[in-house]
Amino acid sequence: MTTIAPTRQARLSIRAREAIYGYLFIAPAVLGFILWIAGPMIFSAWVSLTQWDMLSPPKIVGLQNYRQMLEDGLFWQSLKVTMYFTVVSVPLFQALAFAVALLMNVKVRGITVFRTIYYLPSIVPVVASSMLWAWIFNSDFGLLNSLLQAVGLPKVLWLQDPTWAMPALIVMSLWGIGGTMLIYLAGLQGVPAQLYEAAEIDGAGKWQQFLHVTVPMMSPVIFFNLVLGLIGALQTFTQGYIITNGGPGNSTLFYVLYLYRQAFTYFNMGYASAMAWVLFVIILALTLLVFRYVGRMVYYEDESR
Amino acid sequence: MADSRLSRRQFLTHTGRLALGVAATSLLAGCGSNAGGGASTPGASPTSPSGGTSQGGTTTISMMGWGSPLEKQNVQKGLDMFQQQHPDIKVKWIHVPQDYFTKLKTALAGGTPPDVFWTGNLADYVSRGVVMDITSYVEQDPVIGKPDYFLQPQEKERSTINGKWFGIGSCWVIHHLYYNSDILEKAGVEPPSPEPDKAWTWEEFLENCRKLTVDASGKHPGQPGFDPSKVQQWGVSWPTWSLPRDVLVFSNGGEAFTPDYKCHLGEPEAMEAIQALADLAVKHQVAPQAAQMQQLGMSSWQMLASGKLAILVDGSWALQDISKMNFKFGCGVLPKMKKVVTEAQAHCHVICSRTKHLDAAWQLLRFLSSDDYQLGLCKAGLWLPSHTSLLTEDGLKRWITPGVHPEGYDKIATEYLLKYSKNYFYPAGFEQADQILTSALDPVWIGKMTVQEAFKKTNAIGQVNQVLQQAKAKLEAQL
Repeated sequence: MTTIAPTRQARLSIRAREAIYGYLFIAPAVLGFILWIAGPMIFSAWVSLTQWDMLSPPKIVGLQNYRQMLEDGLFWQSLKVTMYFTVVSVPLFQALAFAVALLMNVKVRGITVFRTIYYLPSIVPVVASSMLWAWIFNSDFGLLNSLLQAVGLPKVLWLQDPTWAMPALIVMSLWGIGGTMLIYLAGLQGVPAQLYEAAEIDGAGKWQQFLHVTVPMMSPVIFFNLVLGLIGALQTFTQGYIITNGGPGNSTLFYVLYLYRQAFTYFNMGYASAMAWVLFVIILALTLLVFRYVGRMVYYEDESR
Repeated sequence: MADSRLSRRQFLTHTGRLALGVAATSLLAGCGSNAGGGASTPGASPTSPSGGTSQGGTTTISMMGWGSPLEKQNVQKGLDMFQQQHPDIKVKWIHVPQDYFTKLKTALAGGTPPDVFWTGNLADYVSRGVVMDITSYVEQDPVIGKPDYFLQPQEKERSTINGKWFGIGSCWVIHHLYYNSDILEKAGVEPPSPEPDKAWTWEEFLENCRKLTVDASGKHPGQPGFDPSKVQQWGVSWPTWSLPRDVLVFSNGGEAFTPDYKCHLGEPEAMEAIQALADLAVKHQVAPQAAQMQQLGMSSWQMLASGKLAILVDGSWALQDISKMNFKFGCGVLPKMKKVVTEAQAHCHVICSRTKHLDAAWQLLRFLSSDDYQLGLCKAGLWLPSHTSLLTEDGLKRWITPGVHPEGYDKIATEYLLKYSKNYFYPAGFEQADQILTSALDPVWIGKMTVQEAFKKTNAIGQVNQVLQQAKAKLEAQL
């Protein structure tokens, strides 16, 4: 190994240089992914095969954590709660965000002010808005029950009654449509005006224009929001954590809330990791289903895909 | 849905930290699990606690704790005082106002534990071998070691496990009544006394609450035409979480958790008391049903101050905030079902079993249980003292503060706390047990089930005992 290649100084080819730059440019993202996402994921996959309280050394138990889930009533309860929330809130959320975006797309004076107002709730931290909503839902002095009573309806124990707690949280989640609405709005503004003009000339009314121009042109955006909304709903945590703490009677025990409790309250990091992987698989499966059955209804203007 | 992704990110961050910490943790395995083994040095631990460096004769130790801005300020004041007394020990104060226990567990798992930390449930941490046995330090200490230094047996009950000292408290907090003086006067109700032997009976309490509950047409519960949906002023708010719930169980001669790791809430006296608590809202209609939710939205303190509520059951710590609200109020002992009693508990300060600076950590722990340290928060109304010396006539003068402590409050300390308080026993595994009980009892508070039905349907007591037995086995293996 004493020979040193003296002429290695020769210039690298352009191709090689570009490759090096390319790798350098993607390095932060790739490194970040490996360090902060892939690494912990592999680690958590291993932890899911152990019994580990984070304080004493982990003990490998094979698939016991996964088997335990089948018999854990609260696991199924949390899954049920999360599915209920997802199935009801995602369509409502998307429909409302789309409807508001349509309104915000109307050309009237001061529309930017309205857009700002409708987006504002999304800037409020979830903890703060959760507090506000808890106040609104307060059964004795809350705004909502005052309104109900003003029109002669009985008061509802929104957050104490297992039947009503989840509907209350779903209504509250609609408060956060701002971000999604904005994406819809951007999409709406990208729909070429000549399509509407053409449709109008062909005698299409407003409703038909909406159905045959707006919806198809918006379908990639709808699809995008639907997938993100679905994933987000399955990972819901904060409302159940702050407002109801999973109650009453575990009626708002979201999957991730139960996972968090297992990890950080009951010291069962192994079980929590196993739960995380099960959720990952569920999300993956549902997302693939949506791609398979909803994805093919999406119309792309550029059909080169 | 940015919120849920945020929590996911937090989760991943934690997992990330854990990943980094795992190597250290497995190295610590030996050290971490032999913690019960007396006050000897914890052996050659390969990882040092965060900030645990000594250079030039100065030792730096770290302490992790929570606390409101006021508490934080007080801790800082205390630490400054400590610094003057011990110029050779530097304390790095890690203040975690939110999600404290998550952060603590992560720090312990990540191999960078603080030398001294605050525990909620001591047994949970002892059973995982992260708390140092300080028995010999306590017993040999010329001040702390004196048998009449602390309020006993409460201090021993909360700080020792199997006769070994694992921590020291620096205050007590109990439950008692707060009332709005003007409202009681207007209704012609004699205020509840701060003297235990003058405690209301349950019947007197109910009767007074009825007088104090008024609907829009001026009617009281029990009168024809009373409309519970239009109540303008409630008689009482008695929260339903573990401490205020179980203090009534104690008063009815029942038990919650006992040191043999059994839950007794399914026994007749206990169920009777819990039902009586639910009936305040459900049957007698003298309490709002939203008791446990009041902390969100309009707090029960605001209700009390604004005259929407006449009597409030709350922890003694609430005095700090209630005394700052602009209204006339007083404090009294809780009504009794069978006997006069209140629960007492508070956090402990402990030394991490992996500390490399045991002597310095002990000096800090010792300071944290001194008069100097606890007086600040006693004066503010957040704490009650844990030293007998502060309950003597001269001792009371050092912390009872006009404008914070209402008239007669000294009796709450010298009589109610000293002679009638019962240490609330927290078994390892308490949080999980409590969550099982809470979710089982939720339908009871709104009158959908009786206590008996709720426990029977969910088998909550059986589940709780199972959790406790597992926790006990773990604790015993560690001791």
